[in-house]
Amino acid sequence: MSDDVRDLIAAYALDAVDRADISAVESAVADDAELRNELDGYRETLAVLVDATEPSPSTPSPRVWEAIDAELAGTQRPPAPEIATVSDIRSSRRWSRLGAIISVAAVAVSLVLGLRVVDLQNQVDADPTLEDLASSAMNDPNALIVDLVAQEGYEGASARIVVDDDGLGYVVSDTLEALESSRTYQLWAIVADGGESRVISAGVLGPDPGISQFQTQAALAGFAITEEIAGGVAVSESPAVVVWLDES
Amino acid sequence: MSADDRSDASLVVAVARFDEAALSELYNRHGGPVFALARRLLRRRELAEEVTQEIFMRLWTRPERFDPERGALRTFLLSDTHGRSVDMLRSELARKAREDKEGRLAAVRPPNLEGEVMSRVTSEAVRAALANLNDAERSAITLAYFGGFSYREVARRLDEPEGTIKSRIRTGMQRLRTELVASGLVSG
Repeated sequence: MSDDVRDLIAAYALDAVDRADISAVESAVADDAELRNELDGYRETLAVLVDATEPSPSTPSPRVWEAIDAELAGTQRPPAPEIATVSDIRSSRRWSRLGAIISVAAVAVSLVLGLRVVDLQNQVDADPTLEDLASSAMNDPNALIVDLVAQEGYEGASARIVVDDDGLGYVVSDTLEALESSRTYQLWAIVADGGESRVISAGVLGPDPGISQFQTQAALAGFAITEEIAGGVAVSESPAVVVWLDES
Repeated sequence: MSADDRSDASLVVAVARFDEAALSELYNRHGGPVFALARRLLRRRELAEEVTQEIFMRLWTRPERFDPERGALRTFLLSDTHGRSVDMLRSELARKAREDKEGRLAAVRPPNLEGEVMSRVTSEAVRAALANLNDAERSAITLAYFGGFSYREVARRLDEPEGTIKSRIRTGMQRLRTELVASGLVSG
């Protein structure tokens, strides 16, 4: 990274970098933990400055929350979690070909509300750790535990996923090779919707996944993990690294 | 446990699970400062309210953008708010420039931004940290952050080389952070 880009990091924290320079800074930040820490430090400093220079924080009018509330009400809500048990999954439609998984990915954009994911690897405060939650799910007799197996060209790769009774899923272990910081693994859920299959992004796992949590909202028929550019993609055209399909 | 007993990070997890009460609680905690920062930059209530609404809807639709390991939720929201407000400010400036090239800056920017910022500081520790910057660093940082100018625009306004302004912003921010760490207001 050039010193020129390094010198821009404070200006970037102030949103004082022109569009032409932004991608260079963001790329440098993605690749350099020290630079990322420096940026986070500046942002924390600015937040303190903002809090200290607003003697009596202005109050937005009630119509702001009313507008947010109305927008939430207008948001298409996902159906209540439907997956829970192995027997549910086993009664769902059989998926025969991996090719079908990726080929239906084009419908994923309109279905992002089907699943939401939160990477809780770094969750803070007094909440149970992610390891605790995943361990609890593994001990849930009603949980679905599946092993994703390596696809051609990715020999040796594997991942284990558990989905608990409430539809909360965890990637609990994997043997995926660590990627460069500009790449990430991305989890996809294959869901049964009537007679059709749909592939929905269940979240970005990072270049070297640990335990991750995600929320399922539909009947599961499989999982796949692909390798993508950092930040993930809405629709994947990449081959699957590991896959599990409900073969029942 | 009710929503108001929970940490910000826990509430964001609940937001990711479509918990509207969690979003409401986060709005109660951070909506005021978000709106205040947007209003300071944009000057107009209706634009600041638009930004506030957008910031919380973005938290609702993309909660995974918040990484608790990289800082507090307040920091994340204020950073998001500043970025969006600056985008909007620059759009407004561009619009005003098209309408009236002569008066575009005067219409949206106060004449003495630095003085205004200093006059609003309520924390003695922050005031001392700002006072510890040299005048050139303080001017560059306040123009960039509270004026919404790029470092290149700051250089033009202060009639200084761009490289000089870039360096002043960085050394000033480093000094400010060091001072605030020493006073215990930010983590080391």
